[in-house]
Amino acid sequence: MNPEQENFEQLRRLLALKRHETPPIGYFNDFSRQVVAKIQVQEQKDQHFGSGRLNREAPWIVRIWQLLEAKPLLAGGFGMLASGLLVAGLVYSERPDAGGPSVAALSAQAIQPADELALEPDQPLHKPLLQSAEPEASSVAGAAMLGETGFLIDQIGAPVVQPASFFAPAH
Amino acid sequence: MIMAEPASRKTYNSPGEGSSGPVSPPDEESLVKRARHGDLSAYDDLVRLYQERIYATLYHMTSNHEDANDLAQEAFIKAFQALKTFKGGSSFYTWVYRIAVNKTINFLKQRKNRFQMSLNDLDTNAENDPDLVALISDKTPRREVNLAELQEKLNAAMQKLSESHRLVVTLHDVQGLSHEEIAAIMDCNIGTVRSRLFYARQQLQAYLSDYIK
Repeated sequence: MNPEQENFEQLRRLLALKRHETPPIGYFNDFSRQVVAKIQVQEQKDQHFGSGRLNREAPWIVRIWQLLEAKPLLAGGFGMLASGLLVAGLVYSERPDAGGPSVAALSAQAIQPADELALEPDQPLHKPLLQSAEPEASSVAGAAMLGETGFLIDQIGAPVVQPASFFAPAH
Repeated sequence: MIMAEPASRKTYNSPGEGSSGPVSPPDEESLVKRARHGDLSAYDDLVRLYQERIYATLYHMTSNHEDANDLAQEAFIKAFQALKTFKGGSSFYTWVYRIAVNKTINFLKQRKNRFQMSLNDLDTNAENDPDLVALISDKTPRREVNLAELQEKLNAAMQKLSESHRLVVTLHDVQGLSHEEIAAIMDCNIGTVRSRLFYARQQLQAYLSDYIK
C-alpha cells in the first residue's frame, strides 16, 4: 500500500465518525406518518383546486407539467420556444408582403378619399357616390336610366291608380 | 412475475446505516404497485424501509438536521406524487434516492450564503469505535482533540467540497455504497464516480491534514 492510499485510509477512518452522527432517539418513529399526513393534505388541496380532476381527465397535461417541473432546462427551453413563436407571429403579421392586408394597410385605404380631396382642391367638396357617364344629367336622369333598364321596376310591377275621396261616407 | 434480485441490492445496508433489514424485490415491487394505486399504507411501508438511509445521506450533504428532515420528507412526498411516472427501469430505492439527491443539490445551490451547521449528537458507540480510537490516540498530531471537535472540523471540511464531490464521499465512504450504485444514483458512469471520489478525498485530506497525518 503506497503512502497516498494509506492517507486515504486514515481519511476513511475519520469519515467513519460521521456514521455515528444520529438524529434524536425516536426521530424515525414518526417520520413516515408525517410524510403520509402531508401527502393526504396535499391530495385534499389538489381535489379542492381541481388538479385531482385534471389528473384523472387529462393526465398527459399533468405529466408534461411534472416533466417541466423536474427539468428546469427543459422548462426554460419551452418558455423560450413559446416566446419565440409569439414574437415571430407578431413580426410576420406586420410585414407588408404577408398573406393578407395588414391593419396598417386597411387603415390607409379607409382614409384614402380624404387624401384625394386634399390633393385636388379645384374639385367640389362633395364627390358623387355614383359617377354617371353624363356629368350634366339632371337629378331625374338616374331614375330614367333605371326605368330604361327595367332593373328593379319590372320586378315590382306597374303602379295601379285608384280614385281617392276626402269625404267621409254618409250614414 | 418475480424479478431476479439486482446485484446492487446486496450492498444497500451498509454497516452502521439504519436498522432496516434487506428488502426482497417482491416486497418492494408489491409495495410500489400498491402505492401506485394510491395505497398510502403501502407507501408508509416503503418510506419506513428507506427513511434512515435517505435521511442520513441528506444530513451528511447538508450538515443540518432540520434541513435534512425537510428535504427527506419533501423527497418522499414528491416521489409519491411522481410514482405514476416510475417505469421500474431501476429499483425504487435508486429512483427515490435520485429524487432526494437532486432536490438536495438544488437546495444547497440556493442556500450557499446562509449556511449554518446543525449537527446531530454522536451516538454512544462512537467512543468505542476502534477506527476512531486508533485515529485519535496514535495518528492524530493533536492528541488532545475530542470527538466533538473532530466532528465539527470534519463537517466543516465536507461543506467546503462541491455538491457532487460531497455526494460521492458521502455515498461511498460514509454510507458504503458501491461505485455502480453511486453511478446509477448520480446518473453518470463509474469512471466519473472514481475520479470524483479521488479528487474529493484529496481535497478533504488537505483540509484535515492536522488530524490525519
